Amino acid sequence: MDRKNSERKPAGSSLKRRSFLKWSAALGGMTALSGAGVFCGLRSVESAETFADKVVWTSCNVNCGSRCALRAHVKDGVVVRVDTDDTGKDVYGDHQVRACLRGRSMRHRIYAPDRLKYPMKRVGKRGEGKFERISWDEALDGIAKSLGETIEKYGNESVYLNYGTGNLGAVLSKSWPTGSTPVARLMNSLGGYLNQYGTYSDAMIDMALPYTFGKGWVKGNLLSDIVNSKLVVFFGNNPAATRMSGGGLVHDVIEARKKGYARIIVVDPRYTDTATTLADEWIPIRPGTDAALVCGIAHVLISEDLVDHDFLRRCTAGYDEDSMPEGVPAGLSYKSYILGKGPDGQAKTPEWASEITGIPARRIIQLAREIGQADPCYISQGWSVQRQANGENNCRAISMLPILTGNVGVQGGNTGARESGYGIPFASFPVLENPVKTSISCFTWTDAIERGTEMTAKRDGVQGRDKLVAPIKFIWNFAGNCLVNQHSDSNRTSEILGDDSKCETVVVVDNFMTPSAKFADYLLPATSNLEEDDFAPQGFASEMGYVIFAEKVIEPLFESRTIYDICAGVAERLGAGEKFTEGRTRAQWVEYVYQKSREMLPELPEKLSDAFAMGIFKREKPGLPPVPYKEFREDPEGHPVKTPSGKLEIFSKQLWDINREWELPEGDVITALPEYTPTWEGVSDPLRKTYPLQLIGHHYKQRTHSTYGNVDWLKKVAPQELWINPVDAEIRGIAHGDKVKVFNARGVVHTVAKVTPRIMPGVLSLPEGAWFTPDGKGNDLGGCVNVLTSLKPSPLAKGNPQHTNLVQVEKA
Amino acid sequence: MLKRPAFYIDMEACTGCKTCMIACIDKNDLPDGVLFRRVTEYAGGNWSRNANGSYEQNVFAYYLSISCNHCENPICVRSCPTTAMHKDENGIVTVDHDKCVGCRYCEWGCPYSAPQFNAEKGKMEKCDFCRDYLEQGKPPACVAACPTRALKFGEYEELAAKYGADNVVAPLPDPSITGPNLIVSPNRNARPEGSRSGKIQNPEEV
Amino acid sequence: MVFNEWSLVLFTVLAQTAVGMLLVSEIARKTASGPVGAVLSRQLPAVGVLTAAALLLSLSHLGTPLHSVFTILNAGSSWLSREILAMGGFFAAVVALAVVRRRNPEAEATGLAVLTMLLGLVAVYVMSRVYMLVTVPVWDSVSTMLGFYGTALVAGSIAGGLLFGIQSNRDASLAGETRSRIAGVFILAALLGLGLKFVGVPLEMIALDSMNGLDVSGLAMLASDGTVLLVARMVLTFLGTAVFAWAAFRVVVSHENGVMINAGLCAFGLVLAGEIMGRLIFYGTYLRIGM
Repeated sequence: MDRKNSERKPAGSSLKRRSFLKWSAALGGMTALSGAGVFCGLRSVESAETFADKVVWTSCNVNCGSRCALRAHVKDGVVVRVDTDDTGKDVYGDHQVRACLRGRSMRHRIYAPDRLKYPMKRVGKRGEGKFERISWDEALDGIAKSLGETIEKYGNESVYLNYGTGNLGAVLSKSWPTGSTPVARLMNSLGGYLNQYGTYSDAMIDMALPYTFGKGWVKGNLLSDIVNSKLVVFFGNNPAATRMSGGGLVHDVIEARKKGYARIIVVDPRYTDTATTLADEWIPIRPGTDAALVCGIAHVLISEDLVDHDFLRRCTAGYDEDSMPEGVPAGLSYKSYILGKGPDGQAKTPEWASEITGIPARRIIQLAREIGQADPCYISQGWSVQRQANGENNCRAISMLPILTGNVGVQGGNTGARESGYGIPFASFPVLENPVKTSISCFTWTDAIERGTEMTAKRDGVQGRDKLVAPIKFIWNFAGNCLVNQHSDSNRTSEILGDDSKCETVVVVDNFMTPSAKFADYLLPATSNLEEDDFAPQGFASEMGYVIFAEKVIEPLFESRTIYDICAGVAERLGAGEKFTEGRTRAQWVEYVYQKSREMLPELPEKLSDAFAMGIFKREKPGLPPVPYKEFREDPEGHPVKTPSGKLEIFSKQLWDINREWELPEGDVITALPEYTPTWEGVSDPLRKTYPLQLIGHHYKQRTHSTYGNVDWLKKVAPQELWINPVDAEIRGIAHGDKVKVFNARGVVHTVAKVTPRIMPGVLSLPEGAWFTPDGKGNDLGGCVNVLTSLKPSPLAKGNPQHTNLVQVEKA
Repeated sequence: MLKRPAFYIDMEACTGCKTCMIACIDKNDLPDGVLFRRVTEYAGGNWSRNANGSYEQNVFAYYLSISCNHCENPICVRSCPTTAMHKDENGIVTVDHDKCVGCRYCEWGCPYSAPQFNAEKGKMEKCDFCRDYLEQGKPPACVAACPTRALKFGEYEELAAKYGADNVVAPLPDPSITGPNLIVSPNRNARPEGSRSGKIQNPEEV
Repeated sequence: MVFNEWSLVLFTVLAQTAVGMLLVSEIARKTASGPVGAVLSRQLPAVGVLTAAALLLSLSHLGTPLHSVFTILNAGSSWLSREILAMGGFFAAVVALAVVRRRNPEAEATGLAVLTMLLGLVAVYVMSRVYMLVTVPVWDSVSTMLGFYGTALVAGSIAGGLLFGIQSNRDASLAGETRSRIAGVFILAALLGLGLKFVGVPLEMIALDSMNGLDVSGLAMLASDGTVLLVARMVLTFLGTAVFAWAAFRVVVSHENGVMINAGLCAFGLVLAGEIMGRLIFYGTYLRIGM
């Protein structure tokens, strides 16, 4: 029975009709492999305890923002079961770091049929995915030769380490930040490489919010602090999907909610899993219009005098005409802008905001009053709101709400930024220093391949130099899927990468034949983190810090090698072996890092083997949740923030200058105030006549970005699907479960429709991270949202506006 | 061992993450097509457009993670022609594979989809409350896995004393049919059993 | 689908046809009140073969058919166990009756015959109860039972009538009046069966519609693809019965023979197709409450 019928027939509340063996195809590959000795563990049915030889602590190191403990049950050298932290009594503060569904499916990940087995070299066109097996010596010799020649011919700044978060959180084998990886250490011992700044997660907030709050990462109050709040407003913040660990934030927010009295409102185009479970109310909003909503709220706060005058006077600059910086014309203050006394003459009334955001004006007024009267009020944002073509302004705008209402620097309040976490110190693997200072936005590497030396500081955000000195000619891609899958416009990116006269060498080091791996010239099989010793310090968590001692569980599968050994092999061939290794083996570096960490955490056992046996070390956070900007709030003169004025700059003179100095593409603006700016492919783009629907790509439980995207169990329990509102589905004749194609000028994606009232009309969401599977005829059959996203960067951060897309959808 | 083992779901905490499902699949090495625990997404509500293009809505949604409820009066045991399906001395509804004929009649009747047909074995299989774990004094795999601590287990009377005895939430069936050993703390979205206001959103997954 | 539909469709239709054939041919034998052993001699063996075929087919939907011996263990509470026992008992009685009649084609064997008929009626009743599950409201209706008895009478009397037609053609000694009476019984039984079916249809609709209370309408479900099937199925059964009644009626009024075989074959084909289609729809409307 197909899904179409299943919708029509049993769709009812209390009715169902089972359908079996749908997934037989998905498991087919697995079954075929089950005969092979290494996969035999998959078939076991007895209780692991009765036959497992040992249980080994390990971890799940992916880019979810959390970090989880796993316990691998091993029999005859094969992982036969994976469970999680079972220590103690699970009392909050000393609670179990329980892995989510992804970590729990680890054995079907490491034993996945598409696991890379031996080094390979490309044959045929780049990107075709045709390879021949070579030996490790041939691979390392060939890579060393290409790398040496590239450095000689184009210089070190032509070598780029692409963004990769597939082994995030490890210490020795970490893949991100790229500048802290063994690959960075290798390149640093060879004269350096082209740096990157920003991330695919948070480029715009990372760049823009410091213009308001001062240089550096803008912290937020912990989520556990909502126990002290009266009202919580999450703008696109969805910890139930983005911080799923049972040792991390979703657990923290549930615990805090149970203890506190806060009413929770979620503002999001989707009725997220956070909203279903935790929110008292959902306010659906059109993507990319958060700044307009904030303006509408600000209009009510100002006109009904619900702003905190004392805080604004003492701690901020640019709110009204009295606190504007020198050299700026009159009428440009925030208050003027909101009340329609600025250059645009448009009062940002709730009615004005209603038309843009899709939220009834009545609700905007009410929300403003709720925020204005709640004391304290915790306002935070997820990073989705800033992954927009106007993301820099959205994130700064949301921070206006706590600033206007004086909720910055108070217990139970927040900066409007995303929540921070608590952590304990742990040593890192030293990577030497990069002599090259040039840096590009991590999103602009395709540009740097195509027109490298044309890229400038004022047009393309190049840092460290006015202009790039070389295009990218050599790419290291370790544990990353940003080569085509997680970068934008997968079709265009494939074309750029496919031209091997531009970027001459691509080396991919990974566990699986990912869409990115297919673009390798040299494809090297890395050990998974279960096949090597390492450490995994905590990810985001509120009330407890921890570190996981992840011991090697099984021998490396097939011919896979650790990234350290791979890099050491290349270094040695280029005469930098000693500089890279400092005479240490990987095992000796593990010991080195452990002993360094003991200097910071003397409670750790003396012997590393005892730490591995212990598995996890936890420490409860002492005291109340820390309050960022508390000292500043109490004494702004004594503890100024790192802005030119020392105050929170609602109007940023720096941005005012940048807007005039930079060369921006037609239509792009950088505004000194956190204004609402309509953008290309935004709600008001005339292109909507052709492509009427806004498309976003939410984080989905099946995967962490693209990691785990090849695991059959996860595809079974959480299949890839396009969220579409019944209103939009009906006029297109689309029923739940129908095969559909989503398309725009950049490409066509085939997927399956989930017709649900949980998304706003006019908006589609295709969960990001599904594996790009081109059929050679211009269609993607994998459901990869980035086929539809644009390579055009955001104005200031030059980051990835991957939620700004217009598309059409029809039945396939 | 327990006498009347029961599951408890805190809907105020369940985010529908499905970790319980994967823990169960991993623990039991479930083949394709067999799921002892399933997470149902139930949602409803309508949208209407205002003159200025803004929208009104009354959308709600919630998740329910359901396995076998080891009912007091299990319809599967009543209907099984072979007596393979039985309630054992610990209150766990169990399939005796030496008797099961694989007729799937238990599956027709069970309103929780608990008995599942293993095509490879030609027999029914189902949640056994992780009997081996219970014997070792450990919680069932799904309970130990739950990242949000929404899923708990225990003696029915003790859970009922602590959390009440509610389990009449849509799309669960009328509990009087089988007497499920299931206790639910409804969240604010929960609709009563028999409600027509929503529907199962993921029929293909459960 | 939870079912291996075809084995269950064929099992139920064939088993019910067998029961109907037995009932009608035994009544016909009584009604004819004369030496009719020769023209009804193949009825019992046919019933036996149909029942055996049905029972064998039913095995094919089992995951572990070797365990089928255990399926009678739960007669205390399982309707499925009872169904297997009832069908088994019916089959045994048919075999016994067939053995008696083989020795003496004119043997009344009233006690055994009545017992066999009763077992047949019980078997169809029990078979209905198997489907009348509290968690499957569409099935949990008297229409299930009416439908099953209706199938037994319509298909059973047409099958029996056809067989009777074939045999009576070869037996010129049969009195015209006897011939008419027997044909009359087959017609009446078929019409009664059709009546049961048509009474059942609105009840079935009501049962389907009652699912409205649970948010989805079984009627709405059938409204798209289902309506055509539903109508086609009723037309087929109606036509088949009509053709049979017409052909048999000619026998009744004219005491003739000869026409019945082709028309009877045609009628049986139509009814069988209609009943199989109807049963497929029946399984297709499996909608269970809960999740």
